[in-house]
Amino acid sequence: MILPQIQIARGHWILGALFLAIILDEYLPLIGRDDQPARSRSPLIGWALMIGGAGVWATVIFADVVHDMLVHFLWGDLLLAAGALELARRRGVYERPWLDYVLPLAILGCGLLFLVHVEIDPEGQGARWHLSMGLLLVAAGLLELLRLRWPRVAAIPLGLPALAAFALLLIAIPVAAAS
Amino acid sequence: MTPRSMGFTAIRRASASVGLAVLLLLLVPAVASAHAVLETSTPSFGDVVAEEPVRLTLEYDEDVVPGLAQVSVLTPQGRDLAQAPQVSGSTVTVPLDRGPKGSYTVRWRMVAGDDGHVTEGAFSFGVDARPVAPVPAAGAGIPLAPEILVWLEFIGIALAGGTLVFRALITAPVMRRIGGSGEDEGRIAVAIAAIGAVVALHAALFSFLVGAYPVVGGDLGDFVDAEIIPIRLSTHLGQAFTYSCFAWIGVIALIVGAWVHPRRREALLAVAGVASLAIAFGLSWAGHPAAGGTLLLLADYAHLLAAALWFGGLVALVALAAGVRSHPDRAETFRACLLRFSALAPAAVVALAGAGVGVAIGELPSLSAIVTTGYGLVLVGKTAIFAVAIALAAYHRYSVVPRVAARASAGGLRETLITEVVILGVALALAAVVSQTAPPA
Amino acid sequence: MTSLGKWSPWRDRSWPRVAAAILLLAAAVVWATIRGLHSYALSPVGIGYDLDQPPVVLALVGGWIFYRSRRP
Repeated sequence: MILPQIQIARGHWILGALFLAIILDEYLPLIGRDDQPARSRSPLIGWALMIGGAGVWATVIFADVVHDMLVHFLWGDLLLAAGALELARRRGVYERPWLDYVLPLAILGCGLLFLVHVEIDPEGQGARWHLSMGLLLVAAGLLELLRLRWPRVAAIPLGLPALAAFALLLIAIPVAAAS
Repeated sequence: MTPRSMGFTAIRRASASVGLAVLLLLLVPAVASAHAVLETSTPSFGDVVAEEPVRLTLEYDEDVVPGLAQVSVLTPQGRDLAQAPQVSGSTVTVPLDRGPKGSYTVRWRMVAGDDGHVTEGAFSFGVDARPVAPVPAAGAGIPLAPEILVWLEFIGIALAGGTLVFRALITAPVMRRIGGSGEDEGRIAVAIAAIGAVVALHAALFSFLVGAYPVVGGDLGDFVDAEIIPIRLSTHLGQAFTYSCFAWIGVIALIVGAWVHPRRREALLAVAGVASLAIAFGLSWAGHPAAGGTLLLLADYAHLLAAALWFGGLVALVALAAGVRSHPDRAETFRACLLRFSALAPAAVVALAGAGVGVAIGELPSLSAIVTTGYGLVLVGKTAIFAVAIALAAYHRYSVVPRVAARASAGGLRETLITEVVILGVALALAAVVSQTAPPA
Repeated sequence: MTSLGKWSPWRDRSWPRVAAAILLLAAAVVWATIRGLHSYALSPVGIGYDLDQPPVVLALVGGWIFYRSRRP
């Protein structure tokens, strides 16, 4: 099934806005009445990662060429694993200190797979946009990892600007580059 | 929180989850490629034309290099009807010699004009006949035994389907009867089933790729750029891959749901178990028995189901026995589960043996083929291993179980159960070899 | 002093989210102005069609995060 390019672009804009809304809600601290920051523990992120992983696996199944299948199944695995662990943590059935690393590593992994995909298919439609998006996700993942390792900045959502920039790229993507 | 606001929150969360999920699809570059991708062809794959076409026209999504375009159009007898391709931008026209009626295989290989990447693909169309899957390219092979992947699919089905059905039919009723939270046992069942589903999903993906490779032909390096859609759509292999992958993703979601929602765990796990066993039908459908008629197909599926229930049930028992070592208070749960399983397992063994005999009768043209063909010899080996497993199962059923029922000592039971699991695992490996060996004509 | 005199739009809200909302709304206005307001339709159907346009979605997200800025 091939969608008209304008509809693909409209999808990018709308879903970029949804992503922006959700990451702002997840990462921007709510300063409570006691002036202490409170962070969201909503299971929304976990389910969204899970459904996203299932969707990427659907992309594996419907891929045009073999290399797309190979890259996308890794993506799907990453999102499914991260989603399951985030869900378990947020619902309180499995809690370990290392689970703090799951979301940053998932973001980093998604960014790296973007770069791998662009490397395999450098002349692809919107390759520069995908390269930028990959770099932003890598930066966001690394900054979130830094935040975990550096307690002095733990309260500052370092990765948020890069994630927000990623969302803004989706919102701003031109019709010709959306794919 | 009032029920109404809880409902509102649930709807809001669900809506937002779906929104973000769809977005995550966009986090990934879509599967469009800059390589020369075949967009349309005349005739197209799966088409049936009344008379043999005088030319084949291929339309790509970008210009291709004229001197490097290769197209072959093979008759059912393997004769190539294609003359030299004529390239104009992204359109490739291939004049065709006249040929007989039947299913034709088109195999093409193009080099993209802008980046020099090679793409290739294969599809089939029919001339006054229903097209069948493209014929494999001569000499093409992949350095990975498909038997290993089929074996992993068997193991995955047994771990997810067999273990979870064991949970629904045996552990859950026992827990309800004797009390206890069953929380640890539930988590172990979730873990075993998750491993099974993940293994089966990935084995299904790579089985499809390994099966598709000889159909496309060419070098392994070029295969990664091969257009895969016609093989996915036009072969049982591809159709089984499509449905089973979607189904395994659903099973994984159910298992994760069972993990994070302990109150709904049993219902979710039961559905996941039944679904896992249903997926197993795809393996039979994509295998040799499908060509032998509905009865043979159903016998093969019953054979696989019985093996999955036996193997999965044993793995679940071993896991329960391991729990007894660290928590002696769980001995009563294990005992009750063992007794219940031993009452049901003989039915699975009888079904396994009966369906296996049925499949053998359907596949072998004569009794002598058992010892005169490679297929028959592997079948004999598999049957011998299953016979050893059945002997060990009989020892458990008639020697150990009565002692356990009488609350006498049954030392070494865990070790002999593990031995039975290993023997069944070997038998499943030989079953995988049988599934990949062509039955004698 | 009336209760209206004590009312403050900021006191009951978390400032990082309010700041993000203002930033997004401002960006939406700047973006729409640069692009030219004549690009947008004024009929009800046309406005509905414009709801996925980048400046409009920025404004919608700004509104959402302002709504989600109430202190716990």
